Amino acid sequence: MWSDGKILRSAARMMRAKAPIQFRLAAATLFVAALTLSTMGLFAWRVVQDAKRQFVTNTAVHVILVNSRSLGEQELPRHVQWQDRQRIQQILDQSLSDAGARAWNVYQINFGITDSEGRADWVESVDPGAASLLGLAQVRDDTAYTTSSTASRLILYVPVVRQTQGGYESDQRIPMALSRVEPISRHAPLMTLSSAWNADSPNGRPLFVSYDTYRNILERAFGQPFAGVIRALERGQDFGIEPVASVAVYIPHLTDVDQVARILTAHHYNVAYALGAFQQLSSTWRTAARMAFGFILVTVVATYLGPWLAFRSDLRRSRKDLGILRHFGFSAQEVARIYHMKFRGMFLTCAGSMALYTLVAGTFMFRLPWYACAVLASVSTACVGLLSMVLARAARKTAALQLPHLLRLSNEME
Amino acid sequence: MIVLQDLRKRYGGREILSGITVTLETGRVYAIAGPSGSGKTTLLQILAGYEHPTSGAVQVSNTLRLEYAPQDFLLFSTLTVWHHMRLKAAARRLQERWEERAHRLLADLGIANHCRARVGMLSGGERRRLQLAIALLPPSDVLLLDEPTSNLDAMASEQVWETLAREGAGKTMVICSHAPIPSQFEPVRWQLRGGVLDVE
Ligand SMILES: Nc1ncnc2c1ncn2[C@@H]1O[C@H](COP(=O)(O)OP(=O)(O)OP(=O)(O)O)[C@@H](O)[C@H]1O
Ligand SMILES: [Mg+2]
Repeated sequence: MWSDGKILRSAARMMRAKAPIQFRLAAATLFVAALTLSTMGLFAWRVVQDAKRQFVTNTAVHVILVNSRSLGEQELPRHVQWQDRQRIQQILDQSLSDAGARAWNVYQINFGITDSEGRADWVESVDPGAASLLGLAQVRDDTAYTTSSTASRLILYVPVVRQTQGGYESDQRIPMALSRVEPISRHAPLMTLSSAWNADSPNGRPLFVSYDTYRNILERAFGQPFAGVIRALERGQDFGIEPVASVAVYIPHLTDVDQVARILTAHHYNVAYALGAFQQLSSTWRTAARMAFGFILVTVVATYLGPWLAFRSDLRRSRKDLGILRHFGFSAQEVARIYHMKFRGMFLTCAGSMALYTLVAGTFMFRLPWYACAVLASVSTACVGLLSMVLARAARKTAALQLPHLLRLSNEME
Repeated sequence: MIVLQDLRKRYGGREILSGITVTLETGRVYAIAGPSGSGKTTLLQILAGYEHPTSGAVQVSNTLRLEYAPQDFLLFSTLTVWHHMRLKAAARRLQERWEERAHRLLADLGIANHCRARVGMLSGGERRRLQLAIALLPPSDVLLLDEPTSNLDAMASEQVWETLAREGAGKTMVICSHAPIPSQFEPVRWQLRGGVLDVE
């Protein structure tokens, strides 16, 4: 007994044996289209992933730097002072307590300190608990953090500052050993927020130390306890230094950053933050993203138009064959299935190899997470599947044409 | 029994068949002659259900199994003779014994030695006989044969008529042919002229 499936399969096999060059061309265009689109998808995803990492997961965008305060129209902006951190923290606690924003000081020493490497260092520090601003888990007291040092230990020669009538003098230096030197990432939030911290020139380089070490240095330089130095500074006594370089406000949630910046600006603080720049960009970005999306869509359609037209032309050329099959006694549905079987295997191969390619290339070449590869693999398989379905429908419609149409039309083409 | 009632067919402005009313009795042979372009093929196509009449009706019981061997070749030039027999057997869901029968038909028609040849390599006469073999392979009640002996020499024609006499016994046959149909078929002879059928 013949089973229907077997009959149609053997008929399809016979038809496949007479596949013309057009059909092979169509198959080739399909493979190229699928390969192009998979690669394009992988590439686009990679780009989005990178952009995300740069702007969203980067802690720098969570930080607002406050450098100065402008009180009146005429007055020059005043540099942030010792009391400003507390004031800023109070403002934020009152106006936006939900945001959980934290204000930290970034400290500096305004004069360069020479070290055992023979270089001048601009010593800086952050408040305890603000190690993350430097991209560190903790800041150790015995360690110097710098972007450029090959030494394993470092001695700072701290000048002893003496006040004279004309200003400040120093003829004595106290060596201070830091037993470890560790690198600091150029991508640490503070480093990306201000170019000053990244400046590394023959004149000097930024060198970060712990808050305690920083205090220690100031105590040695001025020969009095740190509390005394601060009190004197609060009284307005001029030591020739401005210990607070800026106030860094850390905002846990990105969505709050803008509002925090607005509140601080309303309180006359001058702010700088990465997210602001990002948002100015982002409207341009959104347009670009929309255009890119449209472009990808057009490309998808255009890329699949090739194989679609190629298969359509094969179908048109096959009209007479479909007609002859009908003449032999196959029903229109059977004829459509026979034609479908002719290309089904090829579509399956294409979908399978594209899925495999997307998974492998996505994981190993584009280094995308597995779910991204899985999503793209399913999308490219779906595209091939969709084309196969549309083609099967076209074949059904063609096979159901009246016999004289099928037989005559193709006669004219020959 | 097949009944044609006032059958008309026009192509564009030209009326090819203009009111044909006949009844085809079961088991009889009908020989339709007529000048070239008179509409013989058109009439067979309508009987086979490949073309629709412009007006009038064809009453064919749908229990009747029709086989149609057209004047034009409806064959796949890249497939072999045997492929065609297999396709026909598949389309008509023939049982296992069909192969034997197919071989005998090809042998009777004198093309058994071309079994493995591609149809594109066959001569016109060989294709003609293959087309007949395909129509004769499955069991049927009605045979519609358009020019079954064109492209054939006298000897091959003789083979065809003999095969038809044997295979067509008891079947209703409608044969269009410019060549005379042997009288052993005892055909009803019709002339198609000016769009109407005249009994000779
Ligand atoms: N599909 C068609 N469209 C238009 N005209 C057609 C079509 N098919 C046939 N004709 C015309 O109808 C007329 C009858 O054609 P048909 O093939 O039936 O003639 P015939 O009697 O079989 O001729 P022959 O003996 O040469 O085979 C011819 O003039 C032909 O040009
Ligand atoms: Mg004819």
